[in-house]
Amino acid sequence: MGRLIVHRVAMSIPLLLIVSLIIFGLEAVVPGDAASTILGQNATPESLAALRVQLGLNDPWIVRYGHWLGGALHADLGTSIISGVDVTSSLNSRLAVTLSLLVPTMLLSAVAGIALGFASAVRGGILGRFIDVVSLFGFAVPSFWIALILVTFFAVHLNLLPATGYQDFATSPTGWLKSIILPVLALSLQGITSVAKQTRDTVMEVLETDYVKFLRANGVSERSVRYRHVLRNAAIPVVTSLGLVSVGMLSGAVFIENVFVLPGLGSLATQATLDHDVPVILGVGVFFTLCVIAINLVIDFAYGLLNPKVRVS
Amino acid sequence: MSDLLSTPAEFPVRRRGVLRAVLATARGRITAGFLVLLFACCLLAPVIAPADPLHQNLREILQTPSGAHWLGTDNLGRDVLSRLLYGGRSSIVAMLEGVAAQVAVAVPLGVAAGYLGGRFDRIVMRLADIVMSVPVIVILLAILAIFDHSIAVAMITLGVLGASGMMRIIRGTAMTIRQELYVSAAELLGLSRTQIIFRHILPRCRGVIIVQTSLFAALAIGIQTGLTFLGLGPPPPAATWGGMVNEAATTLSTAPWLLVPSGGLIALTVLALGVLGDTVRDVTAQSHTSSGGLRVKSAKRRPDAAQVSVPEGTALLSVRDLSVSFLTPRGEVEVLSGVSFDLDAGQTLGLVGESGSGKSVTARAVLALLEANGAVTGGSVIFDGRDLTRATRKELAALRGTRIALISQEPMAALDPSFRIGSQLSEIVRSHTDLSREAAHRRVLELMEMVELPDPEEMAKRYPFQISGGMAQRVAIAAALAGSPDLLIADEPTTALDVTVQADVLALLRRLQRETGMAVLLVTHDWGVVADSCTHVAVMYAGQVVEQAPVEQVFGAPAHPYTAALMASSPEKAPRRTPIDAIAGAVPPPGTRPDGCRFRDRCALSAADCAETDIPLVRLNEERVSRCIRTELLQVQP
Amino acid sequence: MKAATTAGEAAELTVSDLVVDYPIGWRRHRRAVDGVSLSVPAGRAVGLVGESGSGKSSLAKAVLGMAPLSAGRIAYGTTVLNDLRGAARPQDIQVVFQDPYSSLDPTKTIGYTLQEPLRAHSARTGRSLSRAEREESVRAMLAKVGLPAETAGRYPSQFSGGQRQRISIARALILQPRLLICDEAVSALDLSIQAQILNLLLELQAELGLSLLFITHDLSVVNHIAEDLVVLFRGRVMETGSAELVYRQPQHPYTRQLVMSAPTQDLEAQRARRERREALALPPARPAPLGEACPFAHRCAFAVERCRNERPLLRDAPLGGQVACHRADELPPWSEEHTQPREASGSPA
Ligand SMILES: Nc1ncnc2c1ncn2[C@@H]1O[C@H](COP(=O)(O)OP(=O)(O)O)[C@@H](O)[C@H]1O
Ligand code: SF4
Ligand code: SF4
Ligand SMILES: [Mg+2]
Repeated sequence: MGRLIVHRVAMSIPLLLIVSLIIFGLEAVVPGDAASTILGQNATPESLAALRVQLGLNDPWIVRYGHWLGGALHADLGTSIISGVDVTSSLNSRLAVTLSLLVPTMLLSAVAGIALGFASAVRGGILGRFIDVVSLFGFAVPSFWIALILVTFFAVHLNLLPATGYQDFATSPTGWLKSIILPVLALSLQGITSVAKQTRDTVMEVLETDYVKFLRANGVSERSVRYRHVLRNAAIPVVTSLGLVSVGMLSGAVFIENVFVLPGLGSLATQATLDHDVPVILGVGVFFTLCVIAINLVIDFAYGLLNPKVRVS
Repeated sequence: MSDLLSTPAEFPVRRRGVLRAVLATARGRITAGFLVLLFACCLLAPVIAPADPLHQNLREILQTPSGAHWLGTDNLGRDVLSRLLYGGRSSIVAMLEGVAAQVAVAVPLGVAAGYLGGRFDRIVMRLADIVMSVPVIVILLAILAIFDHSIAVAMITLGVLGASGMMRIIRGTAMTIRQELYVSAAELLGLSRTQIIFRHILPRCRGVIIVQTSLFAALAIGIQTGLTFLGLGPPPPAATWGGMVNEAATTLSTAPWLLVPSGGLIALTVLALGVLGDTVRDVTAQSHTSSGGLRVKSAKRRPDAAQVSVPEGTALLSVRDLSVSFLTPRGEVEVLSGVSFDLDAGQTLGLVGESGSGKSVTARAVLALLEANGAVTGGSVIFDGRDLTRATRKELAALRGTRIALISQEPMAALDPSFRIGSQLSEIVRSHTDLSREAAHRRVLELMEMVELPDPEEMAKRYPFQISGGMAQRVAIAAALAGSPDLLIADEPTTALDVTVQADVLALLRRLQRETGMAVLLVTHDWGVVADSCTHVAVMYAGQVVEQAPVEQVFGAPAHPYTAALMASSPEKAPRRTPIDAIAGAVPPPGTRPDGCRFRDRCALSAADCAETDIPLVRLNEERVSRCIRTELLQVQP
Repeated sequence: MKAATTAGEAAELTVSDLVVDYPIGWRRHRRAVDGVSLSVPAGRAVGLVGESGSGKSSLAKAVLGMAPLSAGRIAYGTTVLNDLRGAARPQDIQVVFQDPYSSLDPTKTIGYTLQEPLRAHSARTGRSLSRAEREESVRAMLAKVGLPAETAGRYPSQFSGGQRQRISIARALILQPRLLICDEAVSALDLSIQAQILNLLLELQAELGLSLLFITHDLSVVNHIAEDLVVLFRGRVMETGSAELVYRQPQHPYTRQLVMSAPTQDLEAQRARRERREALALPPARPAPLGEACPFAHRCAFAVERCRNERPLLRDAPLGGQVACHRADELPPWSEEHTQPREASGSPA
């Protein structure tokens, strides 16, 4: 177990390096740079040259990467080339928004997905079919589109919840809750359905194992068979898939933040992309990678707890 | 031996190409048809589109569907259908770019890593682990910023980064195939690695490659539409599916209809790709569960000619005309047809037969523990005066463990891998009695001593994966004995064990039976085990009991040609290195069993009568029955 | 059958002091074969018997060049096989495996599977065979294993376990090997099918003059087919000798335990075996000894102090053959009831 966690932490260093290197390296090989982006098309060669010197763009890219990395180690991710704002602080201020969206979504997906999948596997019949159909639906329908449908219905027609915008939890807890309900629902649909499907498949498999037959045959109550043995054994693969689903949710978060105009990391990254503002994207990359590492750690920990082979050795 | 091919194998399925198999299913036809149609329409957009996708008509904005505009018009009065067709082209191109990149990376790496193994495999897997954790969306955004909104570069990047998932799966498949014996045989016959990869590994990976490709194509469409929705694709006024959703969003309150065509088409396309992938998976791979997800209502039992009047004999267990059917993808198959036998208290009845004869199904049916796709279709299982096939769930639950218990063939698989042995045993003990935790623990240690497990205290703390197969079978026996059952059903309890361990376990079962007086139904295919442990034998062939008698009578002189022939097939029965009296042909699988006597194709005594009617069980003496109408011919033989 | 390939002369397989270690994790290994020597003389049937994990299959894999050798020498005639891999190996040694299901590629017709070795062989030797010649070889080989010619056009899924095992035998024999290794080749089969395959193997051995190395855990099977027996336990040879001698007069405590434990299909004889076994005071379960000790010491009713400190070497046994036991001369005499096979007329089949 300890080994697993150490391994995961050790792997996170190359992961961070890879993510930043890809972005940095690509920027270096492609013609055009920050100076031309800042000054636009009417820049004179002289002003460009001057700005390049000022930004240190004449150094080889590996030297610039070294500088950036040195800064990153001290939590300095550079400045936006458009607004000149410090990237670290603008990310910090937006992190809470993205987490307000992600954490409830992940919890909801896990709880609702497992409950639905488990119920449909042990009950079968109509509920099983229903889960199958809904999970196809969740797989196919784009989250940004579902978000718009939810807005049309709950915000435009019923006027129950705000269509866009975000309220800080500290300023107004109910406002916060109202502002995240629709985004969380929209983002959860895919998570819930894919977790439900995975759970259903796994539980059906476990229900037909020899040990379940053995426990039933020797008098263990159906209740205990289901809630102690089946649930416990099905949890191992389900937890693994939860990790993948959660990592995939980061992409969905970018779309959803844009639909609901939430001032999170995703909408920041989108704006930065439109502006060609690479330092900001790089910063969001670092933050997202840290999120992935955190998710993986939680999953590894849960996996270790559930799997005696890992726990004992 | 000439009739060897007349007995088809269990699954006489002719291999078909993946495409043919997919198109044979309704799902496959619908999804493939939809995709082909969609692709063709988008490709031919310049020819078939009703209007110019960029042509604005501000007098006809936000119209709902009509004859002129099948899907209405948007906020600039452009024809929605035309824009969808043109927009589809960029989505399809993007999807193809992504898929091509993914396949180009994943297939060679996956096959090589899986087949070669070793250090190459470790490095590739380590890399894949890291790449799996990369937050792809940020990389895509960076690419779009750097490459000036080039969706093509973004999709190729998506393909490369997304390849790790497919690579892992292909690697897993290639690894399993490498371990298949035919690959070893090919190596020994002098084939080179390249030949093996191209002839034996890749063709078997085809299924997973197609499945993963279509799932990834669905993902690629999702991402491409998402990016264009964010305005990161080709700039307006170019038509894109995501862009159209975005435009619809601006008129959400006035014209909600506009969300439908664009979003709906995206969803349909993704859905079709996903379902196509699932269909390929279903036709290429076996299902995970033995029931294949099929269920039958247990109420499908045939009305019995006469409701059996319950206790007719004194037998503890009396199985009468028991029939069982399974619902399989090829329809309903009858696996047991009128199985009958009796078992008295204190006896050990050996249920003998070759594999597929229905021994295990009989054992499970007695306990009402058939898989979800199986059902008793007739007959009765009278245990202690009650018909278990008609018992309620509650009644059955009360019997299990306390009156009838079970041990099975794979001792390791019978124990829950996630719980300590002590805790599993303790749970079973506590489900029969209302002992306190400590008392139950003491009882567990007692049981473990009873089955001669060394060092019970220590053993109770172990997990199943920490003990040997022989010990696991002892644990299973302890669990079965916890409720002091009157009947123990043991389905091939020693088949998976070494002979020395088998002898120990059989000795243990004999001792326990002597001490407790329970009856044992011992399923086995080994005459030696019967000779060692049984008092009576029931021989099964093709879903029927063909002979039942005390062991002395059966070993003395078999009263059914199959019993005699099966005994004679043992290598013990022929002098060293001389031909054994083998039975020609093989056991007919369910569904292909002949009418009349089921053994007649292979029987040396068969005559015309044997084919006429179903052969009944004939009573030969007080304790002996045989399903043969020509037994007198057997009796004359020495 | 027209010779499609040139058959080599039959030769003796000699394995000397073979050690096979499998790596498990970082710098650790598990020893599967621990200094085994045996030989399979040309044209003879040698049986290798032992319980699971005794190293039978590892030994077979080593001979086939599919297991890592840590020490020892494997030679076929005068050719040392130790470092030969793939196409460099003589095709004189072939194998039939246990699992009839994974032994055939489900995506290829039987004809393809049987022709493939011929094609590879002609590519290697430069002697190309015409399509007709290959098809003729396949037909002839199918007839030899008792399958009709139509078999060639079908896929493995259309055949039962016994039929597949016949096809595997045909594939192994198509390059006309001189030595056939059967690794649990009949263990997965039902009694009646097992009898068919054993008969076929005996028939082919006589007809083609094959040598057989027959590996199994089933005493009655190996005793039927083998002329010589090698008894393996925890990677070491416990006893060897003629099958008749080893089975009827086992001289090693382990072999005796094996014979006593194997249930026989004869009520009287089985009762005798059982009683003999029960009479033997077996020691309580103990962990297996490591290092320089008799590998059987923890389960042996005759173990003494010496057995736990000194590894017994294989030496000539009192009644013939060889045993690895310090106390071979002191064991009580063995008089197994003679269960002479009844004359095969007992059944009508
Ligand atoms: N869950 C199931 N679904 C479909 N067929 C089954 C199922 N379980 C068993 N069968 C079929 O029933 C027949 C008898 O099986 P079984 O009782 O296991 O035989 P035995 O124990 O004698 O080897 C076999 O043909 C087997 O394929
Ligand atoms: S009924 Fe006829 S075919 Fe069947 S076993 Fe008896 S003699 Fe043979
Ligand atoms: S050497 Fe000792 S322990 Fe080993 S078999 Fe002989 S008597 Fe038994
Ligand atoms: Mg069975």
